Amino acid sequence: MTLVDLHQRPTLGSYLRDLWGHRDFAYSLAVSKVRLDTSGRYLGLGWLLVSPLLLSAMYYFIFGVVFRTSRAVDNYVGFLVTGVLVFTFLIRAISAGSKSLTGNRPLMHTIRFPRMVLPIAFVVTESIGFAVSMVVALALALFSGTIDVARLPILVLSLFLLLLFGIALGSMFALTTQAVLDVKDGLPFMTRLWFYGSGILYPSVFVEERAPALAGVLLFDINPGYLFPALIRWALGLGEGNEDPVVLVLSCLAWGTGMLVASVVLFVHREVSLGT
Amino acid sequence: MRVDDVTFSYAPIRGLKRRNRTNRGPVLNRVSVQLDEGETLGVIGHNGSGKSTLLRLMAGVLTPASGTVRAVEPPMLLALGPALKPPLSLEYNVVLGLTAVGRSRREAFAAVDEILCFAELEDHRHQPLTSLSTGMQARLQFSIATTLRPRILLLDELLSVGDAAFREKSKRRMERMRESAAGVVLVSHDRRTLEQVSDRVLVLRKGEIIFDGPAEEMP
Repeated sequence: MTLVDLHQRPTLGSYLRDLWGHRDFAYSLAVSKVRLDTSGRYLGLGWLLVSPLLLSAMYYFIFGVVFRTSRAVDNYVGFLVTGVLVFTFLIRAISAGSKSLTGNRPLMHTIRFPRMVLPIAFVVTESIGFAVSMVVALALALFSGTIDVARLPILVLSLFLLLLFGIALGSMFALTTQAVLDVKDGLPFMTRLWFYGSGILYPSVFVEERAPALAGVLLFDINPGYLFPALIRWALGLGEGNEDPVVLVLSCLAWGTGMLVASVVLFVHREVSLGT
Repeated sequence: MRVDDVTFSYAPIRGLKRRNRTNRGPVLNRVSVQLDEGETLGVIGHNGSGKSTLLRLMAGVLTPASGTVRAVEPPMLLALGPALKPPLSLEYNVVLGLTAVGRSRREAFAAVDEILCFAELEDHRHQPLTSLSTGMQARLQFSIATTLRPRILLLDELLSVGDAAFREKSKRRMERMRESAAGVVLVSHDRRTLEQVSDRVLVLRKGEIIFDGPAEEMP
């Protein structure tokens, strides 16, 4: 009988097979995390719906009412809520991912499984909360009559790409935080800067009118923090009206799949050294 | 399974002042062990002698600085500790534990009855893991691991907990594993338990093997 070296770096193929073989573990972990996160609260799962609503209401008051950003967009409430929901998912994916390896040492010190299962499961947990919260955006689109059945396939595709991108982002931050714990302390600043810079609270025309062209490229054309919310807004009919859906779909496709491939390759590379 | 010339040390803690970063030396220093099919190997040593680290290296969850660990298939490690999710029910934890080693949820749910029955914990199925005593948790973990019928089973201090009746039951189950040619490595600081069940004993001191031979000849 042949002996295999337990600490050999896996090949990309064997790692993917191993991940697929642990899909039920990822699912069990994700569901157990939802249960843990919502247990002991009076509202329980209700918080998944209430907290994005409160967040949107707060931003609406500051930016819509006080600063009157709303005049540039037809449906500012729908624009704002959708953007806030999508971006909150990205932030939560990063934060959940960065805790997924450092917070599960006992598990990692006992059971052998492909480590990327952890960030995947934790981001999937966040996506369950996100899916619940998207009911609000859908309701807004239905209520304001902007929904277009022909765009629904694009909506489904864009949500799927967002999930891939979230998983990739979470996995990369899992490895980064594992290597340098200080990243965790810097995260709130980084994500906030990204949030305010991505045209979530204000339409992109605000910046493009008065800033140099390079700013538009950096903040919008290549920024996934703008591209994903913009595509999902467009799909719901809640956008600014200046989007090019084809460009948005292709950009999100590139970000989602590209980052996912990169994060798997990184994990294959780092897997064995996670045990040192 | 073969462990060849393995050295391991834990990474220094970042952020400590340099003078406090004393060089603790390797936890394991050039250790080699062989485990044959159907053999039960006992590992004994003081606290900090490297027993648990050796087991974790054998399980493939820690990576040695140098040397190799080779096995027919990855062994299954059983250690007391918060590997599972304590606030959730026993049933859920069993499913989590089984899917972690690659079983499907269907297989896992089908095995819950058998596992809880052997651990004598059927009445606690829907109670949180936190409601169990340490001994009961050990019984549950032993039951999960042995139900999976691994080729190699690694037990860290799991036989010294639990009452006498359950210890008897566990020994019988390990006997059956041995007959089916499964290898077992068990760590304990209790000489008596080790002598009773081991074919061979390894004595570790400060990360080095100072004895490897039949239990009767143990120093």
